[in-house]
Amino acid sequence: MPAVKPSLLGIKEPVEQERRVEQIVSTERVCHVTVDIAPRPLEAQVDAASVLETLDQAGIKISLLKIHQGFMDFIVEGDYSKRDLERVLQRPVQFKSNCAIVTLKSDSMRYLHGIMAAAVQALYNADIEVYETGDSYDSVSVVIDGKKLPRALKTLAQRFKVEAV
Amino acid sequence: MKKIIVQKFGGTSVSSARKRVEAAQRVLEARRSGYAPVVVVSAMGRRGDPYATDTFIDLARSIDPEREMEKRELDLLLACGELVSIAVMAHTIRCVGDVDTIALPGGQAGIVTDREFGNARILRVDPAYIHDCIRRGQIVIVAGFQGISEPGAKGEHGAVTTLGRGGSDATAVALGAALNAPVEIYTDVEGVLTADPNVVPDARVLKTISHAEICEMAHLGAKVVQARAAVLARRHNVRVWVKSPSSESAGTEVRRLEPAPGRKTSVAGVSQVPVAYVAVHVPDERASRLIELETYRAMQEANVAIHFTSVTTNKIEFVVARDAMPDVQQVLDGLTVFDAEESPSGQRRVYILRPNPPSPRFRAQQRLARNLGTPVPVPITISGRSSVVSIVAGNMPSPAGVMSAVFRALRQHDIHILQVADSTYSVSCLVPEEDALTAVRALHAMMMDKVQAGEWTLTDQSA
Repeated sequence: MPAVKPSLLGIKEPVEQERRVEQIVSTERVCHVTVDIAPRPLEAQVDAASVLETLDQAGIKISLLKIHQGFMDFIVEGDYSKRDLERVLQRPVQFKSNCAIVTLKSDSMRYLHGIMAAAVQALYNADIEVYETGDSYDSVSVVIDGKKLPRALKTLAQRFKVEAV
Repeated sequence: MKKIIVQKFGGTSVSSARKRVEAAQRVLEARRSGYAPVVVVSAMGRRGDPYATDTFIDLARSIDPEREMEKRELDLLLACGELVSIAVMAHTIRCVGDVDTIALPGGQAGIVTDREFGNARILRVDPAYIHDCIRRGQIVIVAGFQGISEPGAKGEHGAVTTLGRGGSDATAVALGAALNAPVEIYTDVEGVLTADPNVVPDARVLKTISHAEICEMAHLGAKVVQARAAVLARRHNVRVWVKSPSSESAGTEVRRLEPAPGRKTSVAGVSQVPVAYVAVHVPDERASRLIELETYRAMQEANVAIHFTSVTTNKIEFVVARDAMPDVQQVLDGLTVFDAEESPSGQRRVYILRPNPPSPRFRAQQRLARNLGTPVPVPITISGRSSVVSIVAGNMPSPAGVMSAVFRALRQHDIHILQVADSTYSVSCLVPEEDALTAVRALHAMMMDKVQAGEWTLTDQSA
């Protein structure tokens, strides 16, 4: 008889995990950057594209990009200063250094409606401002002040009854 | 003992006698190749066909449109479609191949779930009886989409449960995991394509795609594999082939592939999902956080997932699934937020969310609020005319490169990007509904041009 995985017989873990946040992970030393772009929508797209191309060519890793009327913001990973980015982009930027990304992970995120809302609410109640958010099929991420990371992890771990790693 | 293969046939693949014979031939081919096939089938056909799941849903609704059937009984009813299907397929395979077959409802196949009727979670799969049947030389036909709950209180032996829409894919993958077997999912396309072929006629079938990419694709609207089955395949490292029963093409293999640092960006395809866009226009900066929190709380209470969130001092934006739009309208219309602080004039502000045109509920709340402070209307926009168009990529060192190419491609077609989002495996744009199909075509063309030019690779070329 071919091997049957013990976990699938319910000995170790269920076939499908319990529908809840399973893990909280964090990324430190990121910065939140805001760059002005053309205010008119289609011009803004071209302007934003050139900013992104420059960052890509410089090998600068970004994430959680958002566009707004007249500006765009994103997260930059790595030890960059405001001056570094302004030199690369050849334009002024607004810059929040020492930020952190906290990511809640779950395979069943699609069934867990309200995780983003609950996370933001819990952080605001703990007086931790959320600078940016993002989500994928298995995660919800928030960007906060890096100094508040330990407190944020504790708050979210308590809120979702899971250990932060 | 023979090697086992799980073969899943969807509703359209078993909807007619001709298609069932075609499916039976696939099963018999696998047997001739030395495999012991375990076949998973969905209910036959689509809404209107006599044994389709949606036909049973309509039957339940027809009894009293004002009153919903109890979920437990509804699951029992919905499970009937697959029961009909397994009996018919077992007999079809027996007739076509002159082989011994056995039809097993989910419970008899060892699929044990929790008691969340309508959307049950698979707790475990005990495949002992399937192994017994295989040892006896039988081809096993399992009812997809269903299981049985663990015995409940008062001597209940367990109730029939269903796994939610598209749940037969989850059944097949869970069986694949339990039986240590590869899974073939037969569908009406030749495999996982780089785009919906109805929108992009020259979309290409991928030879290979990673578990993570298929999870992301399913999350972003691609319908070829159910999202939950994709997650199960990733979690238990099940190899899955997606193919058509009427084609000799090998289809697409879904398997574990790790991103390779330093390699070129590898792209898997373009997908599109219709959504509803919500914007709350905050009238004064100091109320921004308060209104944001209350809006989120309302969404949470309405059990609505929000995506693409973007908050500035004067606007809170997000998108929700298109079918959640009525719930969102219901909870946001007239939502009232009290400002704890008094204004300089000594009056307390009461913020009331106001749809356009103002609704009776908004007006009623406004009248009541005058007794408590100064009512401040907060305009909201809820539009069902937006779509999220995404490029799924397996190896994307940073989304900046892909995003800039997306911005330029959409600009060339004068498509206004309303918002963007990125994750490890995708970049997405929110665009007006009327531009969505053009956007899919434009992004697919741009993607293939970059592949052609050697700047990017297709995910199956980088495997």
